[in-house]
Amino acid sequence: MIHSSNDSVIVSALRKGQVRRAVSLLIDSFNDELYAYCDALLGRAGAAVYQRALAAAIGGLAAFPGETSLRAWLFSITRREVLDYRWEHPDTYPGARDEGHCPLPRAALDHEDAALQAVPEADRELLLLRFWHGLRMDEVAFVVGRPPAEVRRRAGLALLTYSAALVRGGAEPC
Amino acid sequence: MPRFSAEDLVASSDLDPVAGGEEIRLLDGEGHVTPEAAAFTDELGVYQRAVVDRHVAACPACARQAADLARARQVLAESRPPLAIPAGLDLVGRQIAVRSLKLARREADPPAVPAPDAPALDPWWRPSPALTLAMLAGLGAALLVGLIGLLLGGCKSNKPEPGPRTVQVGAPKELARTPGKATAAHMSGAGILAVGLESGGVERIPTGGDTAKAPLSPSMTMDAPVAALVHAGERLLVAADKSVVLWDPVKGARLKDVTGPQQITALAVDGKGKVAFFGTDQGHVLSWDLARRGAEAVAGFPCGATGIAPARLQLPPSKRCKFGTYFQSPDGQHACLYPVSHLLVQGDRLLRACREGTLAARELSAGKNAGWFTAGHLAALAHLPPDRLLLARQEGQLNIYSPGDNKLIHALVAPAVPPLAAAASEHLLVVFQGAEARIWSRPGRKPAATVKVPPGVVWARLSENRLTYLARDGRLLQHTMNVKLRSGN
Repeated sequence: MIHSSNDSVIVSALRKGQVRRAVSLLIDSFNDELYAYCDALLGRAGAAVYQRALAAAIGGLAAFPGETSLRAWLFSITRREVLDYRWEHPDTYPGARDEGHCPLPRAALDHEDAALQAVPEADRELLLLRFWHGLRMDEVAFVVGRPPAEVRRRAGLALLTYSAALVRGGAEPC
Repeated sequence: MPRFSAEDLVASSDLDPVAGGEEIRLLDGEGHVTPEAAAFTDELGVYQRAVVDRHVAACPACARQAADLARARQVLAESRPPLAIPAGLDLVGRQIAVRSLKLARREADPPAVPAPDAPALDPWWRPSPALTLAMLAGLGAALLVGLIGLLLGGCKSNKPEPGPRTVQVGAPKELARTPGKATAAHMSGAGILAVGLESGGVERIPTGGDTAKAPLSPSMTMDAPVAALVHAGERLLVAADKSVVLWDPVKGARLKDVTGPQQITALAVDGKGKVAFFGTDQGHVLSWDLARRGAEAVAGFPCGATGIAPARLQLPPSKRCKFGTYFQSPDGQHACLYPVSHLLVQGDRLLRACREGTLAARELSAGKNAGWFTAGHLAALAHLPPDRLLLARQEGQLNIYSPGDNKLIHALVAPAVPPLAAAASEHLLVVFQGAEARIWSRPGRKPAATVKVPPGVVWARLSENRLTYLARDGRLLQHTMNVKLRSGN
């Protein structure tokens, strides 16, 4: 992936103690993607959560553990903020109390990819992380905090479901 | 159907360092390839991949599943929405970064201790007082060395020194006016500005020396409004509707043309002026060797396509795609195809921006793609000497991008107004947004000057002391500029 090349530059700047430069590069490299991820999961509230995630990432950047890629680490922080937000705002999370809510991420709706609706929401996130944000499956497992074998199996079945929905012409519209 | 023993599976994970020792179930209880193995073959190790490939080659059901999954992977990857953070939120994010860093430093260090990251002088960051003192001392030393060099060597240079500058812009002067509304323009190496008109006509305006008077009478006419034009050596390529025509602009003679089934949206020529590239409203990029008669598609370089939600298929075809063209393949698949918005040749690279938000590069000499970048919906794209690009997004966000490294260098501070045109010189760059032009001194994030301009600018050129631009109403205007190193630096 094109983005991974920036990982090493940012980590290298961090190791040299150039925190400002690392943060500047981090924002330039990942702001669009992290925002898009928040936007896809939370809709309008994504902007607020993006800010929280960014602050959390910058706060913890100096202590970046290095056990996975910087990219996966950023997505795991962002996902944690998304879950926190859902926990804090159960009523405002899209579809929380509305049974007629269409669970398809807003971004996907904009791009007319209705076959994604056929994939269960939790598994859909795995596909988005893999194919829209370019994470490897072991990185996806790190982000969602589940064993790699389980995540790989779920994602494989989800892709099969998506493939079948494509052949059918997509899921029923909400 | 080939069967594989348990030893095969164990060996596959043990022998494959690529797989990282992770146990991946390759076959299910019925002896077929599992979805997780077929779906992510690119992540399998060499041995695991060989096992799967061998099995798929001999198992029709597994081959069908593999083909379905490969197609699903491709559709899913291509349906990725354009990534574009709103300009305002991007700014907020950077402010958060500043606050977080200040807070972290206050907690970590007593105020008198210099910051450990002081050497990082990214221009976006405001330097600390200690840094400012260091910078002033360094600049003073540099000026002293420069003065000594000037006294000893007696050499003079008209080039402005690198660093922040103040820019004063004079009143506009009208150089010429075309008879109709302008839609596109391009300046030749000899300083002749070719202007394409809404009426289909093409004007040539000499801009250098004393010849900058009235425009020449039109001698070249297209059948539709000019979409793009570019000089190819001494010849001129003009695109309108579905045709590209090669003209001899001196004689007004039509030399060659190519016509296709799609609207032409962008045009570029290689550095030698021998091969033209043009993009269409359905995302294709074609190359035309000007010594030959026909154009051919640049393989593997089209814009991405997306699928269509079933609900949208109820709409008329013209309304099914918001920003692209509806397309139905022979096998009944529905898709939206997106136009090529910009083509630019930069050295040996052909750069292609698409309405769906990708920016891709291709090495012309090697004939292979050199990567892509999610740039967002670009309203303007400008070459920044020597090897960078200005990406001006439709929502007003301006980024400096390095195609060689495939990464953003930094963002410029600009209002959320759609850009119309952009240009750059060695040390300055200008972006036209609405009825204003903002000029930046490179490298810098805040504009050094803002100028009122007519709303609607189709072309601009910037030198170190002149700003020339063509308004949509046909006026060619020029401002003189006084550029100085900022006092106190």
